[in-house]
Amino acid sequence: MSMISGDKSSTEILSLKSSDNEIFEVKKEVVLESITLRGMVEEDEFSDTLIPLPNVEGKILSKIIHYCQKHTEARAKVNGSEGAADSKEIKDFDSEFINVDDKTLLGIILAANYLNIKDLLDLGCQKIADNIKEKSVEDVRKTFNIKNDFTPEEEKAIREENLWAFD
Amino acid sequence: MTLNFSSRPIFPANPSEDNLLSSLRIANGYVVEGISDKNSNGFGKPRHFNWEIEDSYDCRRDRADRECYHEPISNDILDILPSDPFGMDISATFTAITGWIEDMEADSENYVRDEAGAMKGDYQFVAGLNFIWNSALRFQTEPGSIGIGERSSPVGVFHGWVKDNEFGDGSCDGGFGSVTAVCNVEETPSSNDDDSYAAACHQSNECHEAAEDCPHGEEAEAPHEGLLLSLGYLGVQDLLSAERVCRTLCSAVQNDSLLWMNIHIDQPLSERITDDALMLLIGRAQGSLQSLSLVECSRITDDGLKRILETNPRLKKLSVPGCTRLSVEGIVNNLKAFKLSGAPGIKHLRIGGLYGVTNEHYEELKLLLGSENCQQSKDHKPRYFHCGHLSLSCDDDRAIDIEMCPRCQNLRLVYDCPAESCQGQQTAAQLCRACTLCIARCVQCGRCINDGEYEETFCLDLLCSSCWKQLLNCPERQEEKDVTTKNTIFHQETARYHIHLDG
Repeated sequence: MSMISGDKSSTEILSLKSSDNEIFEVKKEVVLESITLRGMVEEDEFSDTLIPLPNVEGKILSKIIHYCQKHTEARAKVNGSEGAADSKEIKDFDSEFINVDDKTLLGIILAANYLNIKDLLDLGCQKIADNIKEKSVEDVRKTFNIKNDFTPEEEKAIREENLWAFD
Repeated sequence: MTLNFSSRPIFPANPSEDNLLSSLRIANGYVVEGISDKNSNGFGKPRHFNWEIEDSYDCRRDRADRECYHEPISNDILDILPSDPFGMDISATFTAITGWIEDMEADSENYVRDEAGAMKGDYQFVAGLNFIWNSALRFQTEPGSIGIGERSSPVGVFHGWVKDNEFGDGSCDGGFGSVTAVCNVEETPSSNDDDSYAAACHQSNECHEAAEDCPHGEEAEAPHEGLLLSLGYLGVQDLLSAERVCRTLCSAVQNDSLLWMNIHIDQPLSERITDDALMLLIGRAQGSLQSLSLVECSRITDDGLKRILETNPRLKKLSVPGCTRLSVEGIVNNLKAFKLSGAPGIKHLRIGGLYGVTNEHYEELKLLLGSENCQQSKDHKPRYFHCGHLSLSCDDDRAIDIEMCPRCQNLRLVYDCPAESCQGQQTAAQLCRACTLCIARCVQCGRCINDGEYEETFCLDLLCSSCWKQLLNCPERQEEKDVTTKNTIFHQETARYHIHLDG
């Protein structure tokens, strides 16, 4: 896929390559939402080449790019005019966006952590935290497919240590 | 779930094996034909078979046998059974089958391990069969038995297996299950192969291997890394729950000091947490606790607070609203000692709800907080009264939350007014700004309630008329218009009323 090269304006397009070799063409300003990528781009190493992201698969990367695009646009609107109405719009977008299955959600969190996109990381982690909140221990295991690797004695010891906190 | 022999030619189509085939079929047929329902008990109607062989041997023995088949655990039956009812030279049959099973085992080992599901079942099935036949052989060579050529009926096999239970091979039910699985072969030839293999596999597993995770679903595993990142977004009670999920999470919760740098204790832990329990939690911060918020923790004492300050020199924010066992003197002394110990000291203190604050206390606290030169409160963002105010008191950047009420000159929490009519007043006298004893406020929106209409709630809070109407207009509450409405509404309200209900 061709790329606009040599254009240093804000409409410069960069290419991101996911772990499964999917290529995404993204505006530079959107890419800069990620602190990690900002570092790479500003050092001018990748302005003419593909930025490989071996830690992020295509499906997740596409979602992240969508998030960054939306937030970049919303920020532009706020800078240009009254932002109050937009903050509801962006909140609605966020809740819709993060309403995905656990597996995708965990993938987004890891990618947002790697790419250092704070808002997305907060959004994802808060959603997972909400999923965990007030669940019983067994429900958490079932929801996230976690194996109980405690010995019965260990389990008992921990339960007793924290007995005061539960009914 | 049964095995489908027809699609998997386990029995070699070898002329010399025909006898084998027929013997096994009959062997199974003996039991299978008796199965009229899905009952795993293979003794449905043994009579049918018995009638067929009546001619070949003594029918009296059959009838006795019939009874015994319903109670398989019987030593006598073995003596009664005919050795070779069909004249099949059963010793040869046994040898053939044993060889066949051994071949299958050898083949199983060569199968690609990727197809573990079916192959495993295959192997297990083979192992199961092997077990049965080995048991039968063993039975054959038992002292007291007539000899190899004689006790060869398939029933003998079956019973031989059953007898094996007593040999302590350590595989009772599982083995029985295997037999059942084998015997059910002819029953439903259209069954799914995988299911049947899984069934045999599952049942054989119990006797041939140690318990493993369910072969049907996903294997449970260690928690995803994303979960560990999310721990920081959990409250204290949820963190303590997470600790019990698995070792990885337990280790993360107990050893990651970043999770414990800002501790907030709210309901329902507030009334349960003691000094010692709090010390344990704070200990996880490994001395780098930065902010501590204890909302209505009525069991925390001045001594407990002292210990906390001694061990956490980096503490900057302390919020203890509604902690009734703490005294102003205690706090002042603790903060003095804290400062003297060389710590940078607390910069933000919240003690709203503490009674008996005198001017001296107030001045000393301001000094300790380093805020004697701080700007006047009007430069801070306005604070509005809201029933959840106790939890939100750390939000603004004031050094201390209480101040002198402009009206009564007491040191209390002072609130601004969100009402439009109260905005924009210039003189201090007209400013709608005072403690809640001087200016009553709506517990929901914080508006001043002077002569306007208001309702008093069950908890003795006040609601202005518009908030009251809003509550009443809520769709699910349309039916509840009687006197008890107040109570039920507040039981249904969100957590912000929770504090008052519990109080």
